[in-house]
Amino acid sequence: MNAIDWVVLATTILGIAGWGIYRTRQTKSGSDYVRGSKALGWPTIGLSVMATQASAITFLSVPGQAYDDGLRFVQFYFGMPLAVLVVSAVVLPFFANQNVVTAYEYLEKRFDVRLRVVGALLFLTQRGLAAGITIYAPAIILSSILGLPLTYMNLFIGVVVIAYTVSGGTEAVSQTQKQQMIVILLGMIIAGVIVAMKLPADIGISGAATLAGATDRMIVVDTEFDLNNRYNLWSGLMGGFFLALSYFGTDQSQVQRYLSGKSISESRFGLLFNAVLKIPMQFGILFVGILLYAFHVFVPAPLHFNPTVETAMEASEVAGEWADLQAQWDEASAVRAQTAMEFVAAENADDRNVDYVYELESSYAELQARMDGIRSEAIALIEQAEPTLETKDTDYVFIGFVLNYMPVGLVGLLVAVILMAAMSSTASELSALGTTTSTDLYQRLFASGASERRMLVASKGFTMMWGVVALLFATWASLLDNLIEAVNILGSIFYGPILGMFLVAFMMKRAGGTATLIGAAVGQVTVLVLFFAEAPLGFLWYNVVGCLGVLAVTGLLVVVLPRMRMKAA
Amino acid sequence: MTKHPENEEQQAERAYNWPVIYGGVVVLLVGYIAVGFVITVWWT
Repeated sequence: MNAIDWVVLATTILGIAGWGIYRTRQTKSGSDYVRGSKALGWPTIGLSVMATQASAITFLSVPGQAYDDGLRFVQFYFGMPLAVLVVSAVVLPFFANQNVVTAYEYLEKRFDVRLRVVGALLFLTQRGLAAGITIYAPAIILSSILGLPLTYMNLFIGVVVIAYTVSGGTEAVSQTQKQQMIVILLGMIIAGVIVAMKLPADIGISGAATLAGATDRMIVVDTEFDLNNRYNLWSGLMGGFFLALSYFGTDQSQVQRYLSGKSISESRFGLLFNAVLKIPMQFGILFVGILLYAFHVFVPAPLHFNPTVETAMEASEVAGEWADLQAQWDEASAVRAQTAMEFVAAENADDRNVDYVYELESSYAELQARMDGIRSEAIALIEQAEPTLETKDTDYVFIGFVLNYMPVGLVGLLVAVILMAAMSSTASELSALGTTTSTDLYQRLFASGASERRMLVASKGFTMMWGVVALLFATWASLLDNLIEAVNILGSIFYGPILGMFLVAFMMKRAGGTATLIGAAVGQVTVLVLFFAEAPLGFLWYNVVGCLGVLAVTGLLVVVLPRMRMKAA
Repeated sequence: MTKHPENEEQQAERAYNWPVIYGGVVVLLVGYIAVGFVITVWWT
């Protein structure tokens, strides 16, 4: 990155953050800080919900995912519009009519304080750990590719996001997210257009799709039912539905976003904006990956996209074998590029000869398989020679293109896009963590009569505290590799039972607090048993099992034991 | 039984035909999946 890129990067990020702080400098009461102005229209809510869900990893990994595996990842999002409809039609009115600040406050209004505290604690555990990873995951990639120390990257993301989130509360989060999301979407469109423009003239977008199609990268919908395969139509619709229902309906980082609407209608339209746009947006980002795949058919891809790994291997004991693989790779790349040109030309020819096209398509697919084989050998060599290095490199495909092939100025903009995506998700998380700690625990259990002024100081303090926790976690995460995986798994293990608790609250009018607590415990244990027994079940199905487990057990208790029922008010 | 008068927000809510809006989103989702099918069949 050159000086112009750094200026673009700093201006975009600090400009938006500074604007957020300036806009919310008047926030003087605790309730304004956690509730916001309650004056937001649907465009701000819609972009804010979108920015919260889309983390930096969405923009870094998803193009690489399509580069490697094609478009089928989009099925993961098929259940989301239906879940958002349910949240908008059913869940939102429950929260809005009870005038709650957090989702867990609703649990107390419906059951009792125990459920509120359990809900809040589950959220704090899961989100509190995950917030660190939202910072760490992009920081490790950017530090590797920009050659900057990881600690600087963590500190830059963390300090900026803590500054505006602590200063202006939830209102500052929504206001900055609106600006950030607009820049992010524009940046991704520009990136897609530039990749398309850099394809050879004879290839174009349709040629890129032809090449991707020949290697099964254009499979969008897979109807084969397989419980262990996370990307097919059924797991996407069912598992994706329950995951999204839990995320949008019970996760305070989302609930806080849409509850800041001027009216229920504005909140609903903000949510529906996401139901309508999320799939095309993800498809667009995946398609950038398809274009990148075609781009690298003609501009040779490195053997490994992570420059740190390449450098380490070139200096390792197996440097000779690595160079050998590199030579094979370059040779196969050249042949593949030649065949690709002939294949696309034959496909687009006026007198298209089906047999000839088929023959070229087969040889193209064979060449791709050969290159995949060389890649597998390279990965095996890395594992053997440098077992501590990360072998997965899909996260580096998109950012590698940005840094090596984008024009000056736009490089800075695209790096800003990635950093802002990290900041916007982290901001929602910190704000939600601070709000939940201050209202559901501090105010409810220890300081029920606290003044507005005191609550403002407490909320700021707790938001700051979670920011520091996230930053420390991000700094130490590199030392604890397994911990990151554990945190990700933890998320999908807790989500189903939390959703189950809320669904009982909404749907089973007769269920009492004790029955729901027992149901939640049984649902949670069931998921844990399945997980530790290594049941052959894709992780999306844990959400379904956990949620239905809570509903079944609670329902049974209420039917069989009358004292488990809600006492008539 | 007397009916409670609607407040402003409830009146504003009723200005929108929600079942039609929600139906539209479902139709759109079916459309997205259909487009996905077409792409899959066309390029494989």
